[in-house]
Amino acid sequence: MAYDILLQAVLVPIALSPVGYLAGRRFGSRGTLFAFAVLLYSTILLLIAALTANSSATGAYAETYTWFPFTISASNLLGSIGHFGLYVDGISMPFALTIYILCTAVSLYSVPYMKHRIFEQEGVSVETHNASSSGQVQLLEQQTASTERSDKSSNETDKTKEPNLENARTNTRFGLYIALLMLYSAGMVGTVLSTNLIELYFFFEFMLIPSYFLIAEFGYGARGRISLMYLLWTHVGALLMLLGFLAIGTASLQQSFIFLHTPGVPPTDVITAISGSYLPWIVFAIVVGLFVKLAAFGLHIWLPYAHGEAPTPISALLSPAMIGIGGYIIIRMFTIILPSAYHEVNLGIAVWGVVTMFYGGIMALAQDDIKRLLAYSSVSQMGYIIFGIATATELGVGGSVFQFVSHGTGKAILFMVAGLIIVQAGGLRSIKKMGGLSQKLPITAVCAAVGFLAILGFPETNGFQSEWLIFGGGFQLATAPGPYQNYWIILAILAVISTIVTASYCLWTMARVFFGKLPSELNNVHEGSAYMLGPMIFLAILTVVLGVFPGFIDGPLFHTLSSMYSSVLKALPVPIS
Amino acid sequence: MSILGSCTDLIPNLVWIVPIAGGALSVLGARFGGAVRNAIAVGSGLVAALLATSLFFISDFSNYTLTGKILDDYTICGTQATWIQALNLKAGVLVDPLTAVLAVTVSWVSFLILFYSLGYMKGERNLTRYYFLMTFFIGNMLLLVMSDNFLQLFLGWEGVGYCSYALIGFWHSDESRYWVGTLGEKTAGVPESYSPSQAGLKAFIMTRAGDVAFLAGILIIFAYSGTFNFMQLSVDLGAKSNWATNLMSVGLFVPAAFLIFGGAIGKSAQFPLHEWLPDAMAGPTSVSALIHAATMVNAGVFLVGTVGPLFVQAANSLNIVYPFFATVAAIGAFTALLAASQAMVLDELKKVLAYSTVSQIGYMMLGLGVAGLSTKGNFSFGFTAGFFHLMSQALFKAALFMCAGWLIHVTGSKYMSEMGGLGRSMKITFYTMLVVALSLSGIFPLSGFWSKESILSAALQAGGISDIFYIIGIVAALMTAFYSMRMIGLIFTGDKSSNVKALEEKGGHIHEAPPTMWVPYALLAIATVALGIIAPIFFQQRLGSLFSAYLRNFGIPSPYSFSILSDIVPLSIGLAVAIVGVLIGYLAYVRRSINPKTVVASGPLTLGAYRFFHHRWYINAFYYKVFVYPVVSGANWLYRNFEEKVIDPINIGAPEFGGDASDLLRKIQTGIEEEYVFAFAAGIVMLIILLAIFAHL
Repeated sequence: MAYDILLQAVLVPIALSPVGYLAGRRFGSRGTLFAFAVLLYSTILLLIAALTANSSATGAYAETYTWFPFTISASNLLGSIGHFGLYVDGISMPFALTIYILCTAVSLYSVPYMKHRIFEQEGVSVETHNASSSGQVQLLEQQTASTERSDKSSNETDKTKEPNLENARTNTRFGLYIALLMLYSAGMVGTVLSTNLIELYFFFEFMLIPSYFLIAEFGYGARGRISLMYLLWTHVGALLMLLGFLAIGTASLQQSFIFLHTPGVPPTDVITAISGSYLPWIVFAIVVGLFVKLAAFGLHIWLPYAHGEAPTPISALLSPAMIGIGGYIIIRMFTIILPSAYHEVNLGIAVWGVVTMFYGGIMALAQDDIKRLLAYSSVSQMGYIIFGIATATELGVGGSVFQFVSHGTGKAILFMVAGLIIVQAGGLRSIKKMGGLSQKLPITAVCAAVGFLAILGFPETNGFQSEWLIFGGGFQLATAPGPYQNYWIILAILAVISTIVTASYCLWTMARVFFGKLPSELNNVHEGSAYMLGPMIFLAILTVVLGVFPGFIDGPLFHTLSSMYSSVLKALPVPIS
Repeated sequence: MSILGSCTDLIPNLVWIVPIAGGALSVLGARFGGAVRNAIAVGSGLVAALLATSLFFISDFSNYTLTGKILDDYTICGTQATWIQALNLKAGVLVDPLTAVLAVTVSWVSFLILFYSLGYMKGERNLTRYYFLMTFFIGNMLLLVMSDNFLQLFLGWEGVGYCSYALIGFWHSDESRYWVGTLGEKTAGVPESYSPSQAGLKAFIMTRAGDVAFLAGILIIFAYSGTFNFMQLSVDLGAKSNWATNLMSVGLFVPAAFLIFGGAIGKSAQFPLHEWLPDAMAGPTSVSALIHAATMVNAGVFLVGTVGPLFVQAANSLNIVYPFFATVAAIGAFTALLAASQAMVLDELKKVLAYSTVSQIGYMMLGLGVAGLSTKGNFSFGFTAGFFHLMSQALFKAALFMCAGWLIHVTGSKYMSEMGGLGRSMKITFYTMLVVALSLSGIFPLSGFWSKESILSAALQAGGISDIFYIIGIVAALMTAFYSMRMIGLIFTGDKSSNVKALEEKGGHIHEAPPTMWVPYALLAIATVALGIIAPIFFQQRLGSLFSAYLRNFGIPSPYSFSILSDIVPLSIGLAVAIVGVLIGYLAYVRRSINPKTVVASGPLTLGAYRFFHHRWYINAFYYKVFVYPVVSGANWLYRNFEEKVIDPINIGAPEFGGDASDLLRKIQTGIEEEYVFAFAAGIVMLIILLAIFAHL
C-alpha cells in the first residue's frame, strides 16, 4: 500500500505527542482537542484499512517493513527477528477499531474531566480561576456544568492578560496528559496490529509506560503506590510472556518470531518443533503472563486499585480497551499457532474463566465505590472472554472477540457516567450517598442504562451478541461427545448462570445510583456538558446498533476464523457422529 | 378465502415495526406538545392492531402446508432477510394461525390500554418516557410473537422484559404512595412491601433466571441443528438422522425442552418463579393491565405453544415428550391453585388481580400440558382450550385492571377495605367489573366459562395423571369464583368505608370515570359477553380448526370438534362449582350473612391456612432468605475476608519481603574496616579450600 496507512495510524499519534504537549501548554484543557483530531485521523485510517481488508478475498490487509536492516546469520537470534508488520484481519480489526474509537471518544470527554481533575489537584480553586477571568463566582460542583463558558473565559484570559503562574502550571499538566494519552492509545493499537512476537512485546510494554504515568500523575488516592503496583504486576506478567515468546521463537522450526499465518492458508502448528518437555512451561508462562493483564481470578488484585484510582477517562480506557488485549494475544498464540498444546489446557482455562466470572461479579456486589464496582465488573467480564477463548470453537472465540467490543463500549459508557457524577457532584463516588440521580441527570441515566444492559448481555445491545456466541461455543462442547463432555456441561451451565449475578449487580447499581430518593446534598447537581455527554451518547448508539446489526463485526470475524480453524474445530453445528 | 391474494412481506413486518417506530416518533413528537406525542403513540397502536387483523385476510389459513414449501414460498408468510450472514442466520416473520391469533389479541388489547392511558396518566410527569416504553413494549411483544426463529424471538422476549422492568419502576423516585404491599408488614422478617424500582429489579432478575435456562435450551438445540429457525427445525426432522435424534442419543433432548420451558416459567410467572408478578403491581395500573395481565405474561404460554408441537414432531412419539408435558400440566395446575389461594385473602386490589393472573395462566399451562398427555388425536383440544383461555383472560383481566386503576385513583387507596359501597356512584364501572368478574369466575355464558371449562374438560378427557390436575383445577375454580365475588362485594356493596367517608367530607366526591377511561373497559366487557355468546355457536369450533390445521404441520393429526352435548358433564360440574364459589362470596361479602372474620378465627386450621396464604406460602420469604440476603452478605463477607485478607496482602507482602530482605542484607555493610578485612581474608581462605577440594577431585 502506497500510503502506509496502518503505519501512519500507529506512528502519527506517537510522533505528534510532543505537539500535543505544546498544545496543552498553550490552550489548557482545550488542547485535548488536538489529541482528538489526531486520534480521529488515525481512526479513519484504520477504518480505511479495515474496509480494504474486507474487500479483499483473504479478508486481511497487511503492511510489512524491514525492521533490522542487518542480518547477522540465519541461526542467530537477532537476524531472525523478522519484519515489522502491521496486520488487520477479522480478529484484529474489532480490537483495533474499538480501541481507537474509545480513545477518540475519551479524548473529547477528557476536556471537562481533566480540567476538573487538574484544577482539583493543583489546588486551583475553580472559583478564583473563574473569578479572575470573568468575575463569576461558581461553586465547585457547578463549575464544569458550564465548561464551555468558562473555557472561553479562561481563553480570553490567555489572550488579554499575562498568563499567570497558575495557568502556566495547570497548562503544563494538561500538556503532559495529552501527550501521554496519545502515546497510550498508539501503544494499544500497535499491540493488536503486530505480526511479530518481539514487536508485540515492544508495543505491549509501550502501552504500559504512559498508562503508568497517567495513573501516577493524575490518579486519586495513594496514586504513587497504586501506579507502581500496576506497573509491577503487569510488567512481571509481560516478562513471563516474553519468556514464552523467546522460547517459541528460538525453538520453532522457522526460527522466527513472525507468528501470523498467511491469510487463507491454515497455520502449521509449531509444536512439532518444540521439544515436548518445554511445551507445558511455555504455555504456562504465556497464559499466566497474559492472565495478569486479563485480571483472571487470583491475578486480578491490581485491577480494582488501578482502575478505581486512575483518572476516570483513563479508567474508561484501561478497563474496556487495555485488559482485553490479553485475550487477543491468547487467541492469536494458542488457538492458531499452538492448537494442540492448547487443547491440553483449555479445560483448566475454562474453569479459571468461570471462577473469574463469578468472583468478579460477587465482588462487585460488595462494593460501595462506583469505580471499584465497575472495576470488579471488568474482572467478571474478562471471565467471559477467557471462557470463550477456552472453548476453542469458532463460536466461542468469535464471541470473545465480540465481547471485547461490547464490553469496551459498555464499560466505557459506565466509566464516563461515573466520571460525570464525580465532576458534577464534587467528587462523589460512594454509591450509598447517591440516589435519585436520574431526576437531575436524565441523559446520563439513559446512557448508564444502555451501558448496564450491554454488560448484562441484554438483547438489542451488543452485549447479547457476544454473550450468546460465547455460550454457544460452550454448549457446543457440552453437547459434543468427548472425554470432558460432563465437565463442559457443568461449565457452560455455570457460565450462563453467572449472567444472573451480572444482572443483579448491574441493575442494583442502576437502582441505587439513579432511582429512589434524591439526597438533599445532590439538589444542585446538573447535567454534564456536551463534551461529556456527546461521547457517551455516541457510544450508546453504537452499542444498540451493533446489538441489532452485529454483522459489521461478525462478517469479517467469522470469515477470518473459519479460515483458521480446521474442520474439526469448526463445530457449526456440532459434528454428528 | 384469501382476499388480498398472495402473502406480502411488508404487512407482517409492519405489524411489529409500526409500534416501535411509533415509540421513537412519539419522542420526537413530544417536542410539539403532549397531544402530538399521545396521538402518535395511540395512533401507532391502532395501526398495529389493524395490520394484525389484516393478517387473517392476507393469509390463507384454511389449507396451508409446511412441507416442501420452506423459506421462500410458505403459503402463509415466512419472509426472511439476511441478519447475521457470517453465521447464516436470517431474520424473518412467520405468520401461522398461532401467531395471527396472538397478534390480534395482543394488538387490540394494547390499543385499548393505550387509549385508556390518555385518561389514566393525564397530568403525570415524564409521559414521553411512558408512551415510548409502552409503544416500544407493544412492538417488542409483536416481534416476539411474529419471529420465525429463536434468536429473534429472544430479542423480543428480553425487549418486553426490559419494558416491564422500566415501567414497573416508572415512578422511580420511590415515594411511599407508589409502593406495593403494606409498609412494615413482614413475613419471617422479610419485608413484604416494595418500592417501584425495587419491584422492577425483582421482576427483571427473577425472569432472568428463567431466561437463562431458555437461552441454554436454544443454544443446545442450536449446537446440533445449526439453526434457530422454527420452520427449518421442523423441516430438518425429515432426515433420518437429525438434530433431534442426535440430541436424544446423548440424552439431551428432554433436558433442552425443560430448559426452554424454564423461560416460559419465568416470563409467565409460574411456580417456582411466580413471586415477581404480585410485586410488579408497583407500576402504573395501565402498565399492569397491558404487561402483567393481557400480553407479556402470556408469552410463556405462547412459547410452549410454539415449541410443544415441535417437540412432539421431533420425538415422533408422545411417550418421549411425556415428562415435558406432564411437567407443564403439573406446574400449571399447581400454580393455578397456589395463586388462587392467595388471591382469596389479600386486601390490595391490584395484588388480588395479580395473583388471579398467575392463577389463570396456570390454567393455560394446564391446557397445553394435558394436550400432550392425551392421545395425538386429542392434542388439539387442550391446545385450543389453552389459547382460547389466553384470549378470554386477556379481555377480562385487562378490563379488571383498568377498572381497578379508576377505583384506586378515585378513592386514593389501593385497599379494597378502604373502598366499599361504590356501586351507586359509578354504575358503568360497577356493571363492567361485575361482568368481567363473573367471566373470571366462569359463569355461563361469558367467555371465561367456555374457555376455562374447555381446559378442564380437556384434562378430564386426557385421563391418567390428568385426573389429578382436573381436581386441582376444580378446586382452584371454586377459589376463583369466591375471590371474584369477594372483590366485587368489598368494593361496590355494603357501607362506605371510613376512607371514602373522609374523602367525601373533605369535599371530594366519588364519581364515574371519564369516557377515555370507561370506554375501553366497557368495550372489553362487551367483548367478553359477545365472545361468550359466539363461543359455543361457531367461535370455538373455528379456533379449534385453525389450531388443528396448525398442529397437522407438526405431524399431529388432531381434528377438532366441539359440541356442548358431548361435554355436558364437565360443563355442568364446572358451572356448579363456579356458582357455589360465587354464592359463598355473595353470602360473605354482598349479603354479609356470613362473617369471614369469624370463619377464619373459628379454628386453628382456618387461621393457619389464612396466615399461610397471606404470607405467600412463605415462598417469597424463603427466596429472600436463601437467594438474596445470603448472596449479598456472602459477597461482603468474601470481600472482607478473602479479597482483603488473602489476595490483597500479596501487594503488601511482596514489597515488604523486599524491604525485610534489604534490611537484613544491609546489616552486612557495617562500615567497620576491621570487619571488611576479616571478611576479605576469610573469603580468600575459603576460596583456597574450595580450589584445593576441586583440584583434588
